[in-house]
Amino acid sequence: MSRTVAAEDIGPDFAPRRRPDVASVEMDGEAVLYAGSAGMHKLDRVATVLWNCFDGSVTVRELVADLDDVYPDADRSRIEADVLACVRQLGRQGLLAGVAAAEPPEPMEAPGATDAPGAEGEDGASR
Amino acid sequence: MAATLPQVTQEAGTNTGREVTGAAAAYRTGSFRALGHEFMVVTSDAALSSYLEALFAPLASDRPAAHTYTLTERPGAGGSDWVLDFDGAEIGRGDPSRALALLLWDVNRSAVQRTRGLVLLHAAAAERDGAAVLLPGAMEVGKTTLVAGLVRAGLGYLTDELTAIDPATGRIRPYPKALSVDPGSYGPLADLEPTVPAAARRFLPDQWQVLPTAIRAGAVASTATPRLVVLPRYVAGQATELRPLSRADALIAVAGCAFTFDDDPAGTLAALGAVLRSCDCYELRSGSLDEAVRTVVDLLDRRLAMTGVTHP
Repeated sequence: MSRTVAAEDIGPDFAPRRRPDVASVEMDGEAVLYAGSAGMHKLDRVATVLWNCFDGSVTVRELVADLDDVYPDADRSRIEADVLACVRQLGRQGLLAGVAAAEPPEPMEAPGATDAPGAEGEDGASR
Repeated sequence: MAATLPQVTQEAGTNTGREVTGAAAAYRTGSFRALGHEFMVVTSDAALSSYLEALFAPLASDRPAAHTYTLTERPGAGGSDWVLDFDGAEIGRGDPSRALALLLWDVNRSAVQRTRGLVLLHAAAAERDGAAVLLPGAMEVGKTTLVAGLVRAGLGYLTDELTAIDPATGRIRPYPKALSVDPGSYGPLADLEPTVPAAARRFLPDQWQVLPTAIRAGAVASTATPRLVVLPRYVAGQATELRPLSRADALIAVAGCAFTFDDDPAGTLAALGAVLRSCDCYELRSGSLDEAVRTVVDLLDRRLAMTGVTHP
């Protein structure tokens, strides 16, 4: 039986996994994610690198260790805090498997009204 | 100088013109194609039929029409109504201008609903030397006005409303309908005011329908590849501001304008991502059509220059 955890309860031993139904496209190192009810999201370059590692087999602790190796001059506790913050935020946004979303996200804005002509601006070619 | 709609010559032996059906004469247009929507219009008014034949001329098709709109005057509660039917079923009625407005609205709506295999965007588009500029956005942001200005400045016309991109090739399939210009844009586009035969004027909604060929002969483009994305926003009195957008931010904005997004979010996102990887992306705010046009033309020319194409 799968367990759902709250984002705030995610700790160093958690192995984040991308929701399989999240569509993802990378543009110049920034990921654009779409997950239906979870809406549309953009990740910066660092978050995109982390996102690509979220296959459910690597824990937060292991990710932090890898980053610490890559950036030996950085403060390890700061790295851990930042990675945890990223994972928890993605969890709150409903993008991670097994993590409860915090609240319904804002729906993606439709390009126009669907009313027939009669009110100002309706042209038929609208969502 | 006001632009004039071409006059229609009704020829015997074709599927246009006057046709006797029972006790009432019915005027039937030729066939038209709005992307995946193939239609013709039958009406009891000769002037209206001529007007529609000219209005839909950029969409003329050799294929038989799969669907028929019928616009006829019938008895109504307050005397008479103009009734619009689609394939025999009533879809609305009202005064003559409302009936025509409903026809134009339904053609657009049906183009979205009946077109398959293309990514459909709520966007205007124009091109130069095969490089297109996409102008995506919600209603009332200034897409039609800006694309009219661009065509007037010499760019090829692709559409003012519905941009269709073939995901297999990344190329735009034109939907060169008449540009629907709202009253708020009559001033900057005053030279494009159409001349409509007096007998058809009662059918006109409060909007100009401007043929692209009336803006400039040969203005309709055959196809193009997007190379520039500009999110327009008309703001009265606003000094022109151009802001570069990351391709990720542009993708989010353009995806928000995709009619078919919910049908296949992953596929649409991937297709749009592939298109935008070849594009420079901007947000443009302006209160001046002339400045907005100069800005966009300059961006497109600079982009073309990168590929070795220059314009005088």
